[in-house]
Amino acid sequence: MGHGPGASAEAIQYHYDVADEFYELWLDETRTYSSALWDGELDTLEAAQLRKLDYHIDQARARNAESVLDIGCGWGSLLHRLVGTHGVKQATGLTLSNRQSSHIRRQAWPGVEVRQESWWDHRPAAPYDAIVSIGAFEHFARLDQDATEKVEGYRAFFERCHAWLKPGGCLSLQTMSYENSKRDDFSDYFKTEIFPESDLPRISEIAQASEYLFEMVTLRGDRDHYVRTLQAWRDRLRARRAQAVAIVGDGTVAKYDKYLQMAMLGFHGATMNLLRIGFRRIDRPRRSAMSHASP
Amino acid sequence: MMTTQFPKTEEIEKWLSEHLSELLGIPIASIDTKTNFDRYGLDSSAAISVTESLGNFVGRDLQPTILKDYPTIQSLAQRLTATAK
Repeated sequence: MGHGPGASAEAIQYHYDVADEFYELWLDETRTYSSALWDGELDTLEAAQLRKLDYHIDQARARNAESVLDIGCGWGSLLHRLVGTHGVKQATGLTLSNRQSSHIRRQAWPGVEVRQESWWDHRPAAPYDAIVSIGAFEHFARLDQDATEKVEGYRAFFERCHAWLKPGGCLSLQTMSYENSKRDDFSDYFKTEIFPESDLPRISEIAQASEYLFEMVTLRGDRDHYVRTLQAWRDRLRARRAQAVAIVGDGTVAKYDKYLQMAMLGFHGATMNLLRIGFRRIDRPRRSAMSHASP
Repeated sequence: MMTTQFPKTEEIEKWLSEHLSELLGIPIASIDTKTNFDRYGLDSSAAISVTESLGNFVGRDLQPTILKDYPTIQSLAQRLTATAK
Protein backbone atom coordinates (compact mmCIF):
# COMPACT_ATOMS: atom_id res chain seq x y z
CA MET A 1 0.00 0.00 0.00
CA GLY A 2 1.56 3.32 -1.04
CA HIS A 3 0.74 6.64 0.46
CA GLY A 4 0.30 8.45 -2.82
CA PRO A 5 2.04 11.55 -4.06
CA GLY A 6 1.92 13.70 -0.91
CA ALA A 7 3.02 13.53 2.69
CA SER A 8 3.42 10.11 4.33
CA ALA A 9 1.33 8.92 7.26
CA GLU A 10 4.36 9.50 9.51
CA ALA A 11 4.65 13.10 8.35
CA ILE A 12 0.96 13.72 8.98
CA GLN A 13 1.13 12.10 12.42
CA TYR A 14 4.17 14.24 13.30
CA HIS A 15 1.95 17.32 13.24
CA TYR A 16 -1.57 16.14 14.00
CA ASP A 17 -0.80 13.52 16.65
CA VAL A 18 1.00 15.88 19.03
CA ALA A 19 -1.76 15.55 21.66
CA ASP A 20 -5.52 15.97 21.36
CA GLU A 21 -5.67 17.84 24.68
CA PHE A 22 -3.18 20.37 23.34
CA TYR A 23 -5.20 21.17 20.22
CA GLU A 24 -8.36 21.24 22.31
CA LEU A 25 -6.89 24.12 24.33
CA TRP A 26 -6.61 26.57 21.50
CA LEU A 27 -8.92 25.39 18.70
CA ASP A 28 -12.66 26.06 18.97
CA GLU A 29 -14.92 23.51 20.62
CA THR A 30 -15.61 21.67 17.33
CA ARG A 31 -11.81 21.36 17.03
CA THR A 32 -11.77 22.60 13.45
CA TYR A 33 -8.16 23.14 12.42
CA SER A 34 -8.39 25.31 9.29
CA SER A 35 -9.36 28.87 8.42
CA ALA A 36 -12.80 29.95 9.60
CA LEU A 37 -15.22 32.12 7.61
CA TRP A 38 -15.77 35.32 9.55
CA ASP A 39 -18.70 37.70 9.41
CA GLY A 40 -18.44 41.03 11.19
CA GLU A 41 -16.40 42.42 14.04
CA LEU A 42 -18.34 40.72 16.82
CA ASP A 43 -18.13 37.22 15.37
CA THR A 44 -16.75 34.37 17.49
CA LEU A 45 -14.34 31.62 16.42
CA GLU A 46 -16.99 28.97 17.09
CA ALA A 47 -19.60 30.71 14.91
CA ALA A 48 -17.06 31.42 12.18
CA GLN A 49 -15.98 27.76 12.07
CA LEU A 50 -19.58 26.53 11.79
CA ARG A 51 -20.20 29.11 9.04
CA LYS A 52 -17.18 27.75 7.20
CA LEU A 53 -18.43 24.17 7.50
CA ASP A 54 -21.88 25.18 6.24
CA TYR A 55 -20.33 27.16 3.39
CA HIS A 56 -18.55 24.04 2.12
CA ILE A 57 -21.61 21.89 2.69
CA ASP A 58 -23.58 24.29 0.49
CA GLN A 59 -20.84 24.53 -2.14
CA ALA A 60 -20.79 20.73 -2.35
CA ARG A 61 -24.64 20.61 -2.46
CA ALA A 62 -24.40 18.16 0.42
CA ARG A 63 -27.50 19.02 2.45
CA ASN A 64 -29.74 15.97 2.90
CA ALA A 65 -27.47 13.86 0.71
CA GLU A 66 -27.31 10.09 0.95
CA SER A 67 -23.54 9.92 1.21
CA VAL A 68 -20.75 12.46 1.50
CA LEU A 69 -16.97 12.04 1.58
CA ASP A 70 -14.69 14.30 3.65
CA ILE A 71 -11.04 13.99 2.59
CA GLY A 72 -8.80 15.02 5.48
CA CYS A 73 -11.54 15.03 8.09
CA GLY A 74 -9.51 16.20 11.09
CA TRP A 75 -11.32 15.54 14.35
CA GLY A 76 -14.64 15.18 12.52
CA SER A 77 -16.37 18.55 12.84
CA LEU A 78 -17.67 18.46 9.26
CA LEU A 79 -18.79 14.83 9.51
CA HIS A 80 -20.75 15.64 12.66
CA ARG A 81 -22.26 18.75 11.08
CA LEU A 82 -23.34 16.75 8.00
CA VAL A 83 -25.22 14.03 9.87
CA GLY A 84 -26.25 16.04 12.95
CA THR A 85 -27.51 19.24 11.34
CA HIS A 86 -27.90 18.72 7.60
CA GLY A 87 -29.70 15.39 7.32
CA VAL A 88 -26.92 13.47 5.59
CA LYS A 89 -27.39 9.71 5.97
CA GLN A 90 -23.80 8.55 5.60
CA ALA A 91 -20.69 10.70 6.07
CA THR A 92 -17.30 9.08 5.45
CA GLY A 93 -14.10 10.73 6.61
CA LEU A 94 -10.51 9.98 5.63
CA THR A 95 -7.54 10.86 7.81
CA LEU A 96 -4.00 9.58 8.28
CA SER A 97 -3.85 10.65 11.92
CA ASN A 98 -4.16 7.97 14.60
CA ARG A 99 -5.50 10.36 17.18
CA GLN A 100 -8.04 11.97 14.88
CA SER A 101 -9.49 8.65 13.75
CA SER A 102 -9.63 7.33 17.33
CA HIS A 103 -11.34 10.50 18.48
CA ILE A 104 -14.03 10.21 15.81
CA ARG A 105 -14.63 6.51 16.57
CA ARG A 106 -15.08 7.32 20.25
CA GLN A 107 -17.83 9.84 19.42
CA ALA A 108 -19.89 7.02 17.82
CA TRP A 109 -21.85 9.55 15.80
CA PRO A 110 -24.64 7.66 13.95
CA GLY A 111 -24.06 7.71 10.19
CA VAL A 112 -20.37 8.64 10.51
CA GLU A 113 -17.59 6.35 9.38
CA VAL A 114 -13.92 7.24 9.66
CA ARG A 115 -11.23 5.44 7.71
CA GLN A 116 -7.56 5.82 8.50
CA GLU A 117 -6.33 5.87 4.93
CA SER A 118 -5.12 8.19 2.22
CA TRP A 119 -7.34 9.30 -0.67
CA TRP A 120 -4.78 7.40 -2.76
CA ASP A 121 -5.86 4.09 -1.21
CA HIS A 122 -9.57 4.82 -0.79
CA ARG A 123 -11.89 2.46 -2.70
CA PRO A 124 -15.51 3.38 -2.04
CA ALA A 125 -18.19 0.72 -2.48
CA ALA A 126 -20.58 3.20 -4.09
CA PRO A 127 -20.34 6.71 -5.53
CA TYR A 128 -20.81 9.79 -3.33
CA ASP A 129 -23.28 12.63 -3.76
CA ALA A 130 -20.76 15.22 -2.64
CA ILE A 131 -17.12 15.56 -1.60
CA VAL A 132 -15.54 18.14 0.70
CA SER A 133 -11.83 18.57 1.43
CA ILE A 134 -10.70 21.27 3.85
CA GLY A 135 -7.09 21.91 4.76
CA ALA A 136 -5.75 18.62 3.39
CA PHE A 137 -4.64 19.60 -0.13
CA GLU A 138 -1.59 21.26 1.49
CA HIS A 139 -0.29 17.73 2.06
CA PHE A 140 -0.90 16.37 -1.45
CA ALA A 141 2.50 17.36 -2.85
CA ARG A 142 6.05 17.33 -1.55
CA LEU A 143 8.85 19.83 -2.01
CA ASP A 144 11.07 17.18 -3.63
CA GLN A 145 8.71 16.70 -6.58
CA ASP A 146 9.29 18.58 -9.80
CA ALA A 147 6.56 20.78 -11.30
CA THR A 148 5.23 18.02 -13.59
CA GLU A 149 5.06 15.39 -10.87
CA LYS A 150 3.34 17.86 -8.59
CA VAL A 151 0.52 18.60 -11.03
CA GLU A 152 0.22 14.89 -11.90
CA GLY A 153 -0.28 14.14 -8.22
CA TYR A 154 -2.97 16.79 -7.95
CA ARG A 155 -4.57 15.47 -11.12
CA ALA A 156 -4.70 11.98 -9.64
CA PHE A 157 -6.66 13.49 -6.77
CA PHE A 158 -9.17 15.18 -9.09
CA GLU A 159 -9.47 12.00 -11.20
CA ARG A 160 -10.38 10.02 -8.12
CA CYS A 161 -12.90 12.61 -6.96
CA HIS A 162 -14.39 12.58 -10.44
CA ALA A 163 -14.65 8.77 -10.43
CA TRP A 164 -16.20 8.72 -6.95
CA LEU A 165 -18.87 11.38 -7.54
CA LYS A 166 -22.30 10.78 -8.99
CA PRO A 167 -23.13 12.70 -12.21
CA GLY A 168 -23.52 16.41 -11.50
CA GLY A 169 -21.86 16.00 -8.11
CA CYS A 170 -19.89 18.80 -6.50
CA LEU A 171 -16.58 19.06 -4.69
CA SER A 172 -15.77 21.86 -2.28
CA LEU A 173 -12.08 22.44 -1.65
CA GLN A 174 -10.27 24.67 0.82
CA THR A 175 -6.51 25.00 0.76
CA MET A 176 -3.68 27.38 1.49
CA SER A 177 -1.78 28.41 -1.64
CA TYR A 178 1.27 30.28 -2.78
CA GLU A 179 0.28 33.82 -3.67
CA ASN A 180 3.09 36.37 -4.05
CA SER A 181 5.77 33.76 -3.43
CA LYS A 182 7.42 30.72 -4.95
CA ARG A 183 8.48 27.37 -3.71
CA ASP A 184 12.00 28.70 -3.00
CA ASP A 185 10.43 31.12 -0.54
CA PHE A 186 8.96 28.27 1.53
CA SER A 187 10.36 28.76 5.01
CA ASP A 188 12.86 26.15 6.23
CA TYR A 189 11.17 26.37 9.58
CA PHE A 190 7.83 25.30 8.11
CA LYS A 191 9.18 22.48 6.00
CA THR A 192 11.32 20.91 8.71
CA GLU A 193 9.67 21.77 12.01
CA ILE A 194 5.98 22.24 11.23
CA PHE A 195 4.71 20.51 8.07
CA PRO A 196 7.28 17.99 6.82
CA GLU A 197 6.87 16.46 3.35
CA SER A 198 4.33 19.07 2.33
CA ASP A 199 4.14 21.76 -0.33
CA LEU A 200 1.50 24.33 -1.18
CA PRO A 201 -0.30 24.53 -4.53
CA ARG A 202 -0.54 27.52 -6.81
CA ILE A 203 -3.99 28.35 -8.11
CA SER A 204 -2.73 27.73 -11.66
CA GLU A 205 -1.68 24.18 -10.69
CA ILE A 206 -5.12 23.48 -9.26
CA ALA A 207 -6.71 24.86 -12.43
CA GLN A 208 -4.46 22.73 -14.63
CA ALA A 209 -4.94 19.58 -12.57
CA SER A 210 -8.72 19.83 -12.55
CA GLU A 211 -9.41 20.84 -16.14
CA TYR A 212 -11.66 18.56 -18.23
CA LEU A 213 -12.70 16.92 -14.96
CA PHE A 214 -14.30 19.74 -12.96
CA GLU A 215 -15.53 23.22 -13.71
CA MET A 216 -14.89 25.91 -11.14
CA VAL A 217 -18.18 27.37 -9.93
CA THR A 218 -16.97 29.64 -7.15
CA LEU A 219 -13.61 30.90 -6.01
CA ARG A 220 -12.79 32.91 -2.92
CA GLY A 221 -9.40 34.23 -1.85
CA ASP A 222 -9.81 34.58 1.90
CA ARG A 223 -6.34 35.15 3.31
CA ASP A 224 -7.65 37.83 5.66
CA HIS A 225 -9.92 35.19 7.19
CA TYR A 226 -6.87 33.09 7.96
CA VAL A 227 -5.07 36.00 9.63
CA ARG A 228 -8.02 36.43 11.96
CA THR A 229 -8.32 32.69 12.61
CA LEU A 230 -4.62 32.39 13.44
CA GLN A 231 -4.87 35.39 15.72
CA ALA A 232 -7.80 33.81 17.56
CA TRP A 233 -5.90 30.52 17.94
CA ARG A 234 -2.80 32.31 19.20
CA ASP A 235 -4.77 34.41 21.68
CA ARG A 236 -6.27 31.22 23.09
CA LEU A 237 -2.93 29.43 23.20
CA ARG A 238 -1.34 32.32 25.08
CA ALA A 239 -4.25 32.57 27.48
CA ARG A 240 -3.84 28.86 28.33
CA ARG A 241 -0.09 28.73 28.06
CA ALA A 242 0.53 27.08 31.41
CA GLN A 243 -1.89 24.24 30.61
CA ALA A 244 -0.34 23.84 27.17
CA VAL A 245 3.17 23.63 28.62
CA ALA A 246 1.98 21.00 31.09
CA ILE A 247 0.72 18.85 28.19
CA VAL A 248 3.42 19.21 25.52
CA GLY A 249 6.27 21.11 27.16
CA ASP A 250 7.75 24.55 26.72
CA GLY A 251 9.54 23.82 23.45
CA THR A 252 6.46 22.66 21.58
CA VAL A 253 4.36 25.59 22.81
CA ALA A 254 7.08 28.03 21.68
CA LYS A 255 7.26 26.24 18.32
CA TYR A 256 3.51 26.53 17.75
CA ASP A 257 3.46 30.14 18.91
CA LYS A 258 6.12 30.97 16.34
CA TYR A 259 4.43 29.00 13.56
CA LEU A 260 1.08 30.71 14.17
CA GLN A 261 2.78 34.11 13.99
CA MET A 262 4.74 33.27 10.86
CA ALA A 263 1.58 32.02 9.16
CA MET A 264 -0.20 35.22 10.18
CA LEU A 265 2.54 37.26 8.52
CA GLY A 266 2.41 35.06 5.42
CA PHE A 267 -1.31 35.57 4.91
CA HIS A 268 -1.26 39.20 5.97
CA GLY A 269 1.40 40.11 3.43
CA ALA A 270 -0.11 37.97 0.63
CA THR A 271 2.84 35.58 0.58
CA MET A 272 0.14 32.94 0.93
CA ASN A 273 -3.56 32.90 0.21
CA LEU A 274 -6.45 30.79 1.41
CA LEU A 275 -8.52 29.41 -1.44
CA ARG A 276 -12.06 28.12 -1.22
CA ILE A 277 -13.09 26.59 -4.53
CA GLY A 278 -16.45 25.11 -5.46
CA PHE A 279 -16.21 22.56 -8.29
CA ARG A 280 -18.89 20.82 -10.31
CA ARG A 281 -18.15 17.50 -11.96
CA ILE A 282 -17.92 17.56 -15.74
CA ASP A 283 -19.96 14.47 -16.53
CA ARG A 284 -18.69 13.86 -20.05
CA PRO A 285 -15.04 14.90 -20.18
CA ARG A 286 -13.64 15.18 -23.69
CA ARG A 287 -11.26 12.37 -24.65
CA SER A 288 -8.15 14.52 -24.20
CA ALA A 289 -8.91 14.49 -20.51
CA MET A 290 -7.00 11.22 -20.34
CA SER A 291 -3.89 12.59 -22.07
CA HIS A 292 -3.52 15.72 -20.09
CA ALA A 293 -0.18 16.83 -21.49
CA SER A 294 -1.65 17.71 -24.89
CA PRO A 295 -3.63 20.97 -24.95
CA MET B 1 -3.19 63.40 34.61
CA MET B 2 0.00 61.69 33.44
CA THR B 3 0.43 58.46 35.33
CA THR B 4 1.43 56.31 32.39
CA GLN B 5 5.00 55.10 32.03
CA PHE B 6 4.58 54.49 28.34
CA PRO B 7 7.76 55.53 26.52
CA LYS B 8 7.83 58.61 24.32
CA THR B 9 7.98 58.33 20.52
CA GLU B 10 11.69 59.28 20.51
CA GLU B 11 12.47 56.65 23.13
CA ILE B 12 10.75 53.96 21.06
CA GLU B 13 12.61 55.12 17.95
CA LYS B 14 15.92 54.98 19.82
CA TRP B 15 15.15 51.54 21.23
CA LEU B 16 14.17 50.21 17.78
CA SER B 17 17.29 51.66 16.11
CA GLU B 18 19.55 50.10 18.74
CA HIS B 19 17.71 46.80 18.64
CA LEU B 20 17.86 46.53 14.84
CA SER B 21 21.50 47.56 14.81
CA GLU B 22 22.36 44.80 17.23
CA LEU B 23 20.08 42.16 15.66
CA LEU B 24 21.24 42.76 12.11
CA GLY B 25 24.84 43.65 12.89
CA ILE B 26 24.81 47.01 11.14
CA PRO B 27 26.04 50.35 12.50
CA ILE B 28 23.36 52.39 14.21
CA ALA B 29 24.33 55.41 12.10
CA SER B 30 23.16 53.59 8.98
CA ILE B 31 19.67 53.02 10.34
CA ASP B 32 17.14 55.52 9.08
CA THR B 33 13.85 55.89 10.95
CA LYS B 34 12.02 56.45 7.65
CA THR B 35 13.38 53.39 5.84
CA ASN B 36 11.16 50.33 5.38
CA PHE B 37 12.09 47.37 7.61
CA ASP B 38 12.21 45.14 4.54
CA ARG B 39 15.17 47.14 3.24
CA TYR B 40 17.23 45.94 6.18
CA GLY B 41 16.51 42.33 5.25
CA LEU B 42 14.26 41.75 8.23
CA ASP B 43 12.58 38.39 7.55
CA SER B 44 9.42 37.00 9.20
CA SER B 45 11.32 35.21 11.90
CA ALA B 46 13.28 38.32 12.84
CA ALA B 47 10.15 40.49 12.64
CA ILE B 48 8.45 38.19 15.15
CA SER B 49 11.36 38.42 17.56
CA VAL B 50 11.57 42.23 17.21
CA THR B 51 7.82 42.55 17.85
CA GLU B 52 8.06 40.40 20.94
CA SER B 53 10.99 42.37 22.39
CA LEU B 54 9.30 45.65 21.51
CA GLY B 55 6.15 44.46 23.28
CA ASN B 56 8.21 43.82 26.39
CA PHE B 57 9.82 47.27 26.12
CA VAL B 58 6.52 49.16 25.87
CA GLY B 59 4.70 46.78 28.20
CA ARG B 60 2.00 45.81 25.73
CA ASP B 61 1.01 42.73 23.74
CA LEU B 62 1.64 43.50 20.08
CA GLN B 63 0.27 41.61 17.08
CA PRO B 64 3.02 40.15 14.87
CA THR B 65 1.55 42.00 11.86
CA ILE B 66 2.23 45.45 13.34
CA LEU B 67 5.63 45.77 11.62
CA LYS B 68 3.94 45.15 8.28
CA ASP B 69 1.22 47.71 8.92
CA TYR B 70 3.67 50.32 10.24
CA PRO B 71 6.80 49.40 8.28
CA THR B 72 9.28 52.08 9.44
CA ILE B 73 10.75 52.92 12.83
CA GLN B 74 9.08 56.32 12.73
CA SER B 75 5.58 55.17 11.73
CA LEU B 76 5.67 52.30 14.21
CA ALA B 77 6.82 54.49 17.12
CA GLN B 78 4.17 57.10 16.30
CA ARG B 79 1.50 54.43 16.10
CA LEU B 80 2.45 52.99 19.49
CA THR B 81 2.40 56.33 21.28
CA ALA B 82 -0.81 57.37 19.51
CA THR B 83 -2.59 54.24 20.71
CA ALA B 84 -1.11 54.32 24.24
CA LYS B 85 -3.69 55.18 26.84
